[in-house]
Amino acid sequence: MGFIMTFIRTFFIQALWNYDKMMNSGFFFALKPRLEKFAGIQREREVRRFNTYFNTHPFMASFIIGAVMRLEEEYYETGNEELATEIENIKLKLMGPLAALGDSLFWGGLKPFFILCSVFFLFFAPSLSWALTGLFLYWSGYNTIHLSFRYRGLTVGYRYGRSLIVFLKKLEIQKKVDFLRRTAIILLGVFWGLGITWLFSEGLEYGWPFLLSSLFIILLVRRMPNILIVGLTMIILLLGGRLC
Amino acid sequence: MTLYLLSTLLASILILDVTYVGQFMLSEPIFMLPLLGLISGQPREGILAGMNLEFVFLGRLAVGASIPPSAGFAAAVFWGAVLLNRGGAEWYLPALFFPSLLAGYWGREIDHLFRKAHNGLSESAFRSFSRSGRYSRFSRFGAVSLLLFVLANWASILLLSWGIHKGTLLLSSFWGDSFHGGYVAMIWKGLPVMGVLFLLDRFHDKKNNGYLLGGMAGGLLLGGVLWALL
Repeated sequence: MGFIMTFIRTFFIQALWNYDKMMNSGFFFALKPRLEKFAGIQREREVRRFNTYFNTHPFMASFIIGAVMRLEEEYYETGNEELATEIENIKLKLMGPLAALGDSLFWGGLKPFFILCSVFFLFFAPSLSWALTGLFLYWSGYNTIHLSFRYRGLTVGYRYGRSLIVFLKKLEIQKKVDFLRRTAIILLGVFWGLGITWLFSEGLEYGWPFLLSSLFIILLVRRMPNILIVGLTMIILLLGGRLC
Repeated sequence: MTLYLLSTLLASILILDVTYVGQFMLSEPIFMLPLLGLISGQPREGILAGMNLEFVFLGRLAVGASIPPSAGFAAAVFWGAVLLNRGGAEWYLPALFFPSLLAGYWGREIDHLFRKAHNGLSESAFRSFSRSGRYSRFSRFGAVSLLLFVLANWASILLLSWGIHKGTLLLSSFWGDSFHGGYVAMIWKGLPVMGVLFLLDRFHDKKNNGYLLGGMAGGLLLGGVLWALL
C-alpha cells in the first residue's frame, strides 16, 4: 500500500517547487508513506536531512525515491549512522545525471518525436476522426512510457538501492535518445519537404512567403529569441497577403 | 458566454499539468486546443491552432530553475479570444497568433510568482512537521497554492483574451487587407510547415544536420512525386 501511495505522490513532486530548495517538499511528501516511523527528536533530525536542496527530472525522480526508500529501511533496521550520510550522497550523486538523462530522453527525445508523429496525423489525416484518433494514440503512447518510467523507477530504485547507477549505465539510454532524435529530425525534414511542396502545388503566390520564412527560421533559430523570429515571419506573411 | 467562462476555466485547470500535477502533456497546445475545440464544437480550429502554437514553444526547455514562456497559457488565451469572436471574420485566427504568443510571457510570470511564494510555504510545512509530526501542511499548502494558481491563471486568461479580442477588432481593416480570401486558409494550414523548423532549437547538434537535410530532400522528392501523380 505504501508503495502505491508513494507512486501516486510522485505526480505531485513539483507541486511546492521553490527557488530555494526546489523539489525538497515534493520529495519528502512522496516518501511520507514509508517514513511513518519518525518520532520526537529523531523527527527533527530527519527534517534537517530532507529539508535540503533536491532537483531532478520529475519522471526520473522515482529512481532516486526508490533507492532512498530502500536505504531508509536499512537505516531504521540497523541504526547505522553512516547510512544517513550515504542516503544524502546518493541523492546528490544521482539527481544531476538523472536530470540530464530525463531532459534529454523526455523533453529532447520522446516529446518532440511523439508531437511530430501527431502532426503527421493531424496534417495529412483524411478526416477529422482520423486526426483525433491519431492524436489520442500518440498521447497515450507518450504517457505509457512516462507512467512506466515513474512506476518502474520506484521498483528498480528500490531493488538496486546503492547500485542503481550501475544498473542505469547498463540500459544505455543515451544511445536510445540519439536514435530518437535522429528519427525525429528526419521526420521534421520530411514533414517540411512534403508541406512546402503542397503549398507550392496550391499556387506560387502561396508558397514563397513560407519558403522565405523557413529560410529565416533555419538561419536565426538559436541565434535569436523565438518570439522575434515569429514576429519577422508574421511580417513576411503579412507582406505576402498584400502582394497576393 | 458560459462556454467562454467554462472553457477558460478548464484551460486554467489543464495548465496545472505543467508543474503541479502529473506532466501528462495535457497542457501542451497540441493536445489542449483540440480538446477545447471538441468541447466548443470547433475541433478543426482547435487542431490547427494547437499545431501552430506547439512548434513555437516546443523549442524551449525548462532546465533547472529556468521557466520558459507558458505554452498552455498562450493556448488558453488564444482559445478565449476565439470563443469571443465566434462566427466572426476569417482573418481573425491568424491575427490572434502573435498576441497570444506574447501572452505566454505573462503566464511565465504567474508561475514565477508562485514559485517564489513556495519558498516560505515549503519552509513553514517543514517547521510544522518538525514541531508536531503532522504532514498535513504539505498537502494543505499544496492544495491552497494549486487553487490560487488556477484562479490567477483564469483571471489573467479572461482579461488577456478579452483585451486581445478587442485589440484585434480595432485593427480589423489592417488584418482584413492582409489576410484575405484563400490566403487565410493557406496561412493557417501552412504555418506548421515552417513552424516545425522551430524544433531545430531542440536539436542543436551539428552532427544531426545531415539527417535534417536528408529528411528535407526526401520530403521534397516525395512531395514532388505525389504532386506529379495526383
